[in-house]
Amino acid sequence: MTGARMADETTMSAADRRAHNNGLIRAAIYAAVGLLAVFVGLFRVPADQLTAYKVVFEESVIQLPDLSLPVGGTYMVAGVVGLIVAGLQFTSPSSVSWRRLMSVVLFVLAFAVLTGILGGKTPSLVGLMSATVSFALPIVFAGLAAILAERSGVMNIGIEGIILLGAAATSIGGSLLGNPLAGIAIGVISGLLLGLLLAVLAIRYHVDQVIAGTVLNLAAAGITTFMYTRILQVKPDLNQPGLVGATPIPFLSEIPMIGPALFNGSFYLYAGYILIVIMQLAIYRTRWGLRLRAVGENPKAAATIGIDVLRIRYRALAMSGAVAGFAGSYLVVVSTGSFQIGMSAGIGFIGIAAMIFGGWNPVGVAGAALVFGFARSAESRLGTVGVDVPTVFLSILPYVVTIIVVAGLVGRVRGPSSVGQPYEQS
Amino acid sequence: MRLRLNGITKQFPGVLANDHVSIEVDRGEILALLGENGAGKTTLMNILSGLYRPDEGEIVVDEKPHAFRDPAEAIASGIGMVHQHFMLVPIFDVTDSVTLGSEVTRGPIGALDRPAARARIVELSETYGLDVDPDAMIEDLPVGVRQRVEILKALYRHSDILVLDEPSAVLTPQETEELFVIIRGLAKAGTAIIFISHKLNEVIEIADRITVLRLGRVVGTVTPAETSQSALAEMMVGRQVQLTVDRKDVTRGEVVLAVKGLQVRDDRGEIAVKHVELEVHAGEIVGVAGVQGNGQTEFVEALTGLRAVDAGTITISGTEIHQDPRYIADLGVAHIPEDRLRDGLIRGFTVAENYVLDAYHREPYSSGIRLHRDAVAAAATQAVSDFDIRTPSIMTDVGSLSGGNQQKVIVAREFGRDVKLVVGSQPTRGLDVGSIEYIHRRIVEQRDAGVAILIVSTELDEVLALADRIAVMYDGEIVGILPAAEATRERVGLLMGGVR
Repeated sequence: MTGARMADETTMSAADRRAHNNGLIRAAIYAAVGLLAVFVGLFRVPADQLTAYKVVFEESVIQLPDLSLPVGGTYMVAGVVGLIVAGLQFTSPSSVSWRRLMSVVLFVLAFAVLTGILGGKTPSLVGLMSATVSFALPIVFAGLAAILAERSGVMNIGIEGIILLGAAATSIGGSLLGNPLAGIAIGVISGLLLGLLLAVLAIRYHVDQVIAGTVLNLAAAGITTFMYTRILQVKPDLNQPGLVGATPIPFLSEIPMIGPALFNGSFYLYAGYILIVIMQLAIYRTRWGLRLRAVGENPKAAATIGIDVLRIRYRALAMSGAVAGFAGSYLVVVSTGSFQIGMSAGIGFIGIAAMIFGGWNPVGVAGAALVFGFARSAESRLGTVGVDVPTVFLSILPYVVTIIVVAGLVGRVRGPSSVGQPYEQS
Repeated sequence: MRLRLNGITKQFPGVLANDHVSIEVDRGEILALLGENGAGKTTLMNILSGLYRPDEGEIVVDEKPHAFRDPAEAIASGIGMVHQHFMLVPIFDVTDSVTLGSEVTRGPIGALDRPAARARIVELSETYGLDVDPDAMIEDLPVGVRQRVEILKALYRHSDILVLDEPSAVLTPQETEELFVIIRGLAKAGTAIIFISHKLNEVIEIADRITVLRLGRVVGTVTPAETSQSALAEMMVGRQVQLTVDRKDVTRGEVVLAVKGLQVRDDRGEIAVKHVELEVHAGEIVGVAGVQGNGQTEFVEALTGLRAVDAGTITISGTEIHQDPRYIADLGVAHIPEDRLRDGLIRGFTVAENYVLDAYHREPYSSGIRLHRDAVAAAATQAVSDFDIRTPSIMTDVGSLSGGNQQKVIVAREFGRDVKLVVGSQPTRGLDVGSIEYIHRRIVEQRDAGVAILIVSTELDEVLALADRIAVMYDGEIVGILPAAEATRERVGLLMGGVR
């Protein structure tokens, strides 16, 4: 450290000193982790151990050799990256963008550990990516549903419950009408109605939004369990809505590594792309989006210039519910082909986490959902490859990642200012 | 006549806020609406802007009666409001804030045409000399500029009836002068202007006609030429008002409050108070003037133990204090907070309970785990009569009292201790003239009895009326300390704007 910087330190305030010290602590942690990774790579891994990642499916038109990575080398690369980041952090302890640095370290470390766990095996990287996208997709819809509600200033904790009820409605509706597409429509409509129900509770009756959403979640779990055991198990033909198959896009779906994941899915995948783009444009580039954001930030200001705050909020909640219902229908007609108890499995909550991680922004939500989807797909893939890690640890992985990301990486992001506060129209 | 309000009546539960109010204003005219807090000015303006609907009466624009169902209809009739609390979205830029609600769009789905909107704002800003950057974020703008953004919002909507609600409340005297230039320019261009204020000198300076409201009724309409400040005050309050405070000469004693190198951060972690040095002696009133939001709130919170000190020291009678409000109160510090219902009283508690908030844990109010309700009631009854608190009973919810009586409950409690130092932040904010006189008299009594007093206020008149020495706070710093004799409005005003 230079003399000038030392002089600075004496005049630094308590908060600056705290930030400075935290930066130094982070640098020390990165350095320790980096050294550990290098040590593991050099001494704890058999020198010739390889992990051969498959980058194409066997049935693909284009065939490529496996991507063979030496386990020890991967650890050492991760270790060196950790040390470089530690050095960056140390030279300017309080001024670097530490969240970005931490993501880099976490990513290379996670990849190295994965390669290590899989040492000597031939896991399918392309399969991992496909699974990542299919797990991420419902989280994307849940996250977009959360954005629609919160941008208008209403918290939608009930997304989880709407997904579950939407899934049940899709299954029963699709079975009765004999067509999965009709089932999807019914799932979306029931989601929309549930969104409106939440809106009436929160906007008209000023019920605390966290409580209203929680009640909806509990009710959804109870109602669907009851329906499943009393109706669907008795009459299984009510739980056979049929499946929606994949529609590969010619050529694009043949790209090695990413093609099968990104361009060979059901219409939900393409609907997801379109929805992300449309919402991104609509929120930031249209009159509707401007008013939506204004209502979520300062409803009084919007009202004084003649914007109908309550109408915008009702509509946003209806749309939020519809998108959540769409997510529920995906679980039924793409993933399992029938309704199962508790099949929402926390997707609604992880969607809310993705909204926060993604900064209340549709494209950000997509990125966040991929992180969560990767954790979930790693869990299921590692289970099938048969590694020596207890399955309990594998199955908690997605939730641990969620906690680390939300608590550690996100920190204090600023959401819409008026979220959670009822607006009283005079 | 461009605009006429005929017999507007609005009843709220328990209050007749407007009682057959009639006012009128023509093109190119500046009408001042003068009244105390609670006289019904804001209610009237909310009716005019379509936020409230009157129970009786009509709004006549260009000789056609209107009944506004929502703000959009009022705006369509040419009425533009500049609210006292700005109606802007902090994270929007100026262009989005101004156009919100009347956006310039292209195509069927309402895609925003920002270049066109921006061009229009630049044009308006130049035409009326508003000097606003269309790309600046609202949260980065000083209040004076935010106010001009509000005016832009009205002009952008082709409003030619402009209503300004207490526009000078957040401005320095010099900024107020700049605002007046803009207002006169708009009037000359044919805009009808309604200027709402409770400041006598301002309405005399700016208005063509002055309509005075009291307790929801129009008391009269006068021109500046035929009236004076004291005559207006009498109309506004309904009796003779003393505009100055009587005070004895007192020799100042030893230093009670000593602040050295104080640095404090605000809620966002930004430095709000920078290296403040200040001493307050026994028997003197030091007034801290400054435009709202220049660190006064954080300064007072640090002094009273509500906020952590980042650097520097605060000493009261030789004892250095830390973030411990009860300890500080027990040292003999009385605190009159700027927000009564947030930091001064507990809404939902009775007058008696609020009166003993500082001492409920001690004899005679409690022993062990028992609270002695009789002792509390006896003390509160005494305080109610000593401080002339108008309340139905000591068991009344403090939230249902008028602002003036709430403030008296606080003053009764805080002055009920053995006081060495009074820290008063906006001690008369939102009060009627009678209550203001009362609170000022109590504060001066304390000074005459040898107590050290620090008054922080954004009302320059209040500081000038009370203080023996005036410190001016700007951007977190004390930019100057003047003895009362040298503190003219102009000198203090320049300091408030950061000009040393």
